[in-house]
Amino acid sequence: MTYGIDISEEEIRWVRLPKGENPAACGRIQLEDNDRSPRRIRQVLKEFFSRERVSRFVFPLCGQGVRARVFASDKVDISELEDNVAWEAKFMLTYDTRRDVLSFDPLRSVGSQTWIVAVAAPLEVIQRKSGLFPKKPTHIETALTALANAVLHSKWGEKDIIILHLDRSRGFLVVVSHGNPILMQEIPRVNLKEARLSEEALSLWHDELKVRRNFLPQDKRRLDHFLLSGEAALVSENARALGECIDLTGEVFDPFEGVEIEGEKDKAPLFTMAYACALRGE
Amino acid sequence: MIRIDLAVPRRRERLTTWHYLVIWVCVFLFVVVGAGIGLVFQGRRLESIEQENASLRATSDSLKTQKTAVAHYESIEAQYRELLGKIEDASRYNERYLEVMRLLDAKLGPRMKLVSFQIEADSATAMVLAPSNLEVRRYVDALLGSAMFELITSEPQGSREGLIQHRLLLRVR
Repeated sequence: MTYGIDISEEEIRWVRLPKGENPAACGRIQLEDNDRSPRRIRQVLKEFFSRERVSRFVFPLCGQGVRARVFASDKVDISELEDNVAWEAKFMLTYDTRRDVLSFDPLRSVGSQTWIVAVAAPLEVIQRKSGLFPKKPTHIETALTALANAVLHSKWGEKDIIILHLDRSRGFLVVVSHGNPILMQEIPRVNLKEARLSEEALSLWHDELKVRRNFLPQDKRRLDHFLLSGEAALVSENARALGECIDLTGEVFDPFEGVEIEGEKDKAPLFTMAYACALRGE
Repeated sequence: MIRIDLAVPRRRERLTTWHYLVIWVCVFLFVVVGAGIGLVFQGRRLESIEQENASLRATSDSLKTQKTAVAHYESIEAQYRELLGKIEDASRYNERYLEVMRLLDAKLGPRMKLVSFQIEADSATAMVLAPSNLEVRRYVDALLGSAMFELITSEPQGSREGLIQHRLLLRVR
């Protein structure tokens, strides 16, 4: 069984997919306000791994120089693709071979080009985050690709969707178009003070989302739906209000839709990242 | 589904006190065993050196004995060479003596007699009997003609057996 484990600022969220007689399950482990140090997180995870007998797990990486981008690479022989992407990632992702680790996945080929989703992260950050866990992860995702996978795996996967995962101190924006991500951005300096977004906060997000949508090519700016995930999605009015900011119908994203799962199913939007990571391990 | 993976080889686990203890014990045993083997080899080597030393000492003693024998031999050789020299000197003296005597005898005139003669390092004294001084004179001239003698003195010594006795002192060249 593969676990998806998402460490946010305040808690550790986990999802386990069903296997054999074991049903799917999800849960949260709160981190005390007075101690959220790496040492404490390591200790909590060690206890969790011991209790749940975790052997396979995937976790999402975010912040601190973790970048993801979708771009078209010149279509070359598969043996040269890695070198080609690495060369292009220097410009697209400011990829530094001495400092970063690069990973990519070819999405589709169009004419003489291959669309690539590429991610880069500093080796030091990867090692530091991996060091929080008592075992070696099966894979390391990024929060952005995990969010894209969550959407692609859901009923929204084949539509033109913009999804915002908004927690108290982190935000990720992904645009998916006909089964492929086309924009993936982490929103820095997020500070969600209230469960229900105030008028002032909505005004700020209105500007933020408009600016972000302008990163899309002209012909891709027509979108079907706005989806909200994360802590902000626990209040459904937030999804509707944020969708209206960019003239779209806003809905709460439920990653567990159609899935039998034990645990806090009513708080499903919190587990988007963890669920996508668990899917990645299957 | 997007399949990316940023997993990198996990950093090495930190060593615990037990690890350090085991490593320390292993190092200690390694050093002790290594030192033991080294000492055994060193001991064998020392025994070998000692045997070699004894052998060298015996050789040295033998050489000393031989050296003494050689010195003794050289001493004997020197004595032998000295003796040879003396023999040669004596032989030369005898030859010279015989030659002087042969000349003194060969040059005697009629009725002359060589009574005695004595030879020194560079001179010879001869006592002759002659019927007359003239014969002595002829005798001396004959000796001087041999280019071996040089007359120093010629002294009559009276008469004997009816002949005149002369004592001749000659320088031998």
